[in-house]
Order: sequence, then structure tokens, then C-alpha cells
Amino acid sequence: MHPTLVPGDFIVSSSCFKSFININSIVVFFDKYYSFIIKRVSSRNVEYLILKSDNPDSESIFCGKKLHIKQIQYIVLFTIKLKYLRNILILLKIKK
Amino acid sequence: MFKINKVQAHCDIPCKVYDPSIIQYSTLSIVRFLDIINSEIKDSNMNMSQTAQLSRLVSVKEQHAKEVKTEVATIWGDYFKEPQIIKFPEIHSIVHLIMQLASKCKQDLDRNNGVELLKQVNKFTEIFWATKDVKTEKFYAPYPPELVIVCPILKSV
Repeated sequence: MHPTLVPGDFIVSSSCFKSFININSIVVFFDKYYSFIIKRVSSRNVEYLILKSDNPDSESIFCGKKLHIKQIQYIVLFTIKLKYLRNILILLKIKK
Repeated sequence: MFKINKVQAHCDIPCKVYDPSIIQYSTLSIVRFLDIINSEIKDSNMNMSQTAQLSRLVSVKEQHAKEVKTEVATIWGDYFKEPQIIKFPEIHSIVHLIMQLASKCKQDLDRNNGVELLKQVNKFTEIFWATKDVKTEKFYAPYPPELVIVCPILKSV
């Protein structure tokens, strides 16, 4: 999902707002082999949606995959970039 | 209520290098080999060396037919996904026909099978580049058997 997310970034997601899933939403679903997977929605109809990655240089078996809307566990509300989190922590340390 | 789980984006090897030109090259080779084989067979009084040459030609022709099948299966299986298939639903029947024609090229010595295979490979190539929004043009191959091939119009440097 680079550049949107890089390893170590945090996401805040919820299972309560799944009805708001739309094109370009970032969603999390569970795959029995790979555990929790995060992808962006490229298209959707009433029942199904198709996923994509933000990384143009990467391919994934989950990109272009048709997924039932019920399989989506969470919708991502916002992301916390690790690099910003680090800067905030450094600032807090300096203030102390 | 609050739980921290690890999620992953699951990215495969960042390859994305797919190109049907290998398939076209192999198909043209099949037709070329069929031409050479058919001209060799006309001479019925073959000596040992000619027989060995013929068997080599047949073997390489079959290798190219195998290559066509492998490369088409790779692009169809790995590259074509739901969005491309929705846009070009005919891709399945074209791939199936390519597989059958490639097998015929292995079994038979009929040039028409090779020519028909190239037609279907050109259709496959057109669709492949269309999925990438790359325009194509038809050209004559600059080497024997000089048949028509579909080429992408690439960005100039």
C-alpha cells in the first residue's frame, strides 16, 4: 500500500461504519492464509467490491479480486504515519 | 472494544513485466519451422544428416508451441484479473483457442494452423495492450515468414 502506508504505520479502523464503504475506501478483511489484509476499494456494487493496491509497482493476488461486502471486517477511519508519530514523540521529549 | 492487530498489504514480487511479444515471436517461429519442415519433406530421398536436421526442426517447432502455451497461460492467469476480464470477456475463448491451436501445431504440419494461431495471438496481444490503454498497430514482421503482427505504440524517448 506504499505510499499510503508503509510497514510500521498505524491505522484506526472500525467495524461500525461498514455501510460507508465506497470506492477509494481503505478496508481490512481476513484471509485464512495471510491473516488481516488491507487494500483500497477500486469498484463496488451492492454485494461485491473489487480491491486494488496503492503501490503502482506491486502486484498482489488480492488486487482485482472480487470480495463479498460481508467479508470486509473493518473500514479504515484514519492512518497514523510512523514517521510523524516519531517526530511527535521527539518533540514531546524535547519539551519535557 | 479496542484491539491492535497486525495487517498486511500482501504484495507479491514487484514484477509487473508482462509482454506478449514473446508469444508472437514463438508463433512466427512455428510458422517458419513449418515452412522449413514442409520444404524438407518434399525431398523424399533424405540422407542421415537431413533426417537428423528434420527431427531437430520438429523438436524446436514443438518447443516454440510449448512456449506459446506457457506464456499465454502466465499472462492470462497472472495478469488478467476481474477488471480486465469484465472489459474483455472474450479473452477466455481466445486463450482456449490459442491452447488448442498450439497443440495442433505440435501434432500437425499444416501451415494454416500456425497462421490461425498467429491471428489469435494478435487478438490476444491487442486485448492485452488495450487493458493498459496502449494503442497498437499492425506491422509485417521484418523476418520470415513476414506475417502480420500487432505491436504497441510506445512512448518515444
